[in-house]
Amino acid sequence: MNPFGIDFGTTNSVLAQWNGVEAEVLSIDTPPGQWQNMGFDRVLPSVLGIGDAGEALFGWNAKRATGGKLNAVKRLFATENTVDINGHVVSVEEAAALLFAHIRSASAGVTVNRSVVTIPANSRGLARYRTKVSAGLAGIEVQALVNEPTAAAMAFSIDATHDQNVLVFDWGGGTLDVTVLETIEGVFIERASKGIPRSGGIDLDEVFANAITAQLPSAPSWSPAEEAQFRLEVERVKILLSDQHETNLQLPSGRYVPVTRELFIKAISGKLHEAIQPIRQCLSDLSIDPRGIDQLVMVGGSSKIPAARQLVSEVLGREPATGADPMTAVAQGAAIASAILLGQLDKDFFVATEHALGTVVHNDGRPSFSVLIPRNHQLPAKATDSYVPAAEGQSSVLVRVIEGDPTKPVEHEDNVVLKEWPIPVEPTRSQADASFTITYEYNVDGILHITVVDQLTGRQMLRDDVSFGVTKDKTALVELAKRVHATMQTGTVNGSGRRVPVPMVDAEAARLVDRARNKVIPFVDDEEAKRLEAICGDLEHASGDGLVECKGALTEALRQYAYLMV
Amino acid sequence: MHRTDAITTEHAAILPIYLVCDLSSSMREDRRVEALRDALTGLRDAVWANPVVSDCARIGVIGFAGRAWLCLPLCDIATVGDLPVLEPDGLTSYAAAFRLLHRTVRSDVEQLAADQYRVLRPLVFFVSDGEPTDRTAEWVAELAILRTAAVRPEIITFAIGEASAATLRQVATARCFVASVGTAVRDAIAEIGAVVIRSVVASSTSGQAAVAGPPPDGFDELDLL
Repeated sequence: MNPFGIDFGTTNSVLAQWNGVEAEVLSIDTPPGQWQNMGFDRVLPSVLGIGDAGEALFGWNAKRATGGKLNAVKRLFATENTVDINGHVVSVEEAAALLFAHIRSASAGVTVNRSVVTIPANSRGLARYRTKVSAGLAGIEVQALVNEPTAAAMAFSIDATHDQNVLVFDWGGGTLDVTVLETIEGVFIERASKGIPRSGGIDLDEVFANAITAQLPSAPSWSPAEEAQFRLEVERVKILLSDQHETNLQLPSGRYVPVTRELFIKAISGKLHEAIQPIRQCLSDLSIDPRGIDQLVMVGGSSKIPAARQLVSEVLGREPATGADPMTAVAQGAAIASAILLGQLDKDFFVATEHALGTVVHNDGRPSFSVLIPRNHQLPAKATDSYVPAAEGQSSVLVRVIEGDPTKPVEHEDNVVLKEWPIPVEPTRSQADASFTITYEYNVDGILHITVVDQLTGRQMLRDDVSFGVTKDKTALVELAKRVHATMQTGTVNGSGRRVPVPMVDAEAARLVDRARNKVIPFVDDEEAKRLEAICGDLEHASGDGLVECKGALTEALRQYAYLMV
Repeated sequence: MHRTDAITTEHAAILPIYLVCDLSSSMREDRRVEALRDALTGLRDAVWANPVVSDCARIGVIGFAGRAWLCLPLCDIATVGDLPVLEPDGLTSYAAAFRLLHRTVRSDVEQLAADQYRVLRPLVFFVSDGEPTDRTAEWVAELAILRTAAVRPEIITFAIGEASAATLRQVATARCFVASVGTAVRDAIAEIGAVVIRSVVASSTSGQAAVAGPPPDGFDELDLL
């Protein structure tokens, strides 16, 4: 089996394959004429669309659609459960899985069954887990989740034989990650990593679009389709301005306006300077100055912007490395990692944690972060520690898995409680006799397994993994996999996730449904969400007495969630 | 003194069959209810064409939405000229459906026994296109009463549209069929009609409640264990 690497990017995704000699990038989409020769010939826009007839659209076909599409699904991994695409409510995992499924067989004659998949260095548990689940739903076994900067450095530094510090500046469509890697005899160790989750090409497009419209004689009044057309043109012109000083932008009216690199740089200057901060933070974390960096690697589409390359080079006093395409290096590095893991390339390769993992304890009444696996620890990692209930006579303890920075308070935004379990303990035992061990096992595939054992009896009190969302009901995963498979077989998105918006005549009913779906359903437990959605579904089709009945039922049901309406 | 030979009569066996149909508002979508009416007509015609079924089975139809009602009392459906009008509207109360089903089964079985029939275990085909809108505790309690009653029907469930497999699996006692991804709800309902006809014929001729054969086209079967 060939080693594959997938860069599942926020805006673009890339598939690479180790062919025994080098990591070659496979073509998985065909860009339209005016986007040819702009570096887009080997990438797939990470866009999923659903047409009016339910047909699934991928890549450029979806990107060029005027509506009914989802951009940057990866950005939703950490925050959302479902997305609405052209009236079809699909889970974030399903949307991502469809893109993975497309990538899996988009290259002629190639089917990817196993691959290294890259993730942003600052991804926390939920995003890591969802990446793995989504690839799995698409039929791709994830050999390892590798941080994008690590993969990028591997693409540039694979032949490096001497020890060095490599700073990877990965500025893609959606995120910015800066990572300092130490290369010791071909082994990459992440020494520091900082990122800005929502900083990338999408954000640059936004500020650039605002700057362009501010220059127009009057504020534009465009339809959503025209707005989408304009945004696509802004992105194209942004890329052109990396190579030329001036070009023309076509407005939705068909009229052309000239835009200059100067306008672009002015528009993004705030974002550029923001992008420098993670570099300074990494250097500060490691107590080194720019001279401690031996190599600079710049990857991601936004890293191709000359002003960005110049600014980063100035800060570090070093030119970026050459030898790989910034757009495809991450996938190539992932393919190299895959080859190493499959024993087809003789190099050592390790992955490390970029956040500490621990549990929350109350030693002096206040919560604190008890570390089990420290930051920058090589994976796979396993750690065990023992704990006692905080007070005598407790009948249960709350075991919480926390990820983040132990030097900061538990409630700090950098610290995230990934999951928690109440575990019964024997209240008649003394504190010492009620002691228990917590063991964390964190594998290369990025999934954390937890075991809690009663020290007195040796009884296992808990065995679980840190899982989220749909995994509360594993049968839901099976249904999701079936839907993904059916969509790829038929080319049409269908199944129980489908909800076609129903035009509602009764304004009060429409308002109730809107409030239920936007303000309540996303935040209540699965069982209640299904009940409320069922009432909404009936209300959408009700008339006469049935309408009165359904409105009454939904009003009554929503009343108990008044606190969510504010 | 006259001596009369003792005369023993073998009581005829009868199988009560209930079609319990979701008639909530969502059944208006995509002409689902029309498909249900067609399926019912098909069932009537199939029974008419098979006199053995007419002799051995009685069929009743219960509809439910925010409440439940008897659309067609237990009868020889072959003799019904005008089938009931199935008009959907309102919520999806499983609790109301199970409550009425329990009462109806009990009184029908009592009546059939009083009429000197040997009553076979009733067979229920439960069809829903959505999740229940009543609280879980409420409908689960009514289901428990139905399933522990003196006369417990065998329940075969069909999940179509937005109904979840997990919910309908909870309801079923015999078999649970879930419309496959990509199967249009109307087509699924037509297939339900076919499996009901098959089962009614098989049960009538074998003398016991039976759901014959593999899952209908466009359905997957869930393991109830």
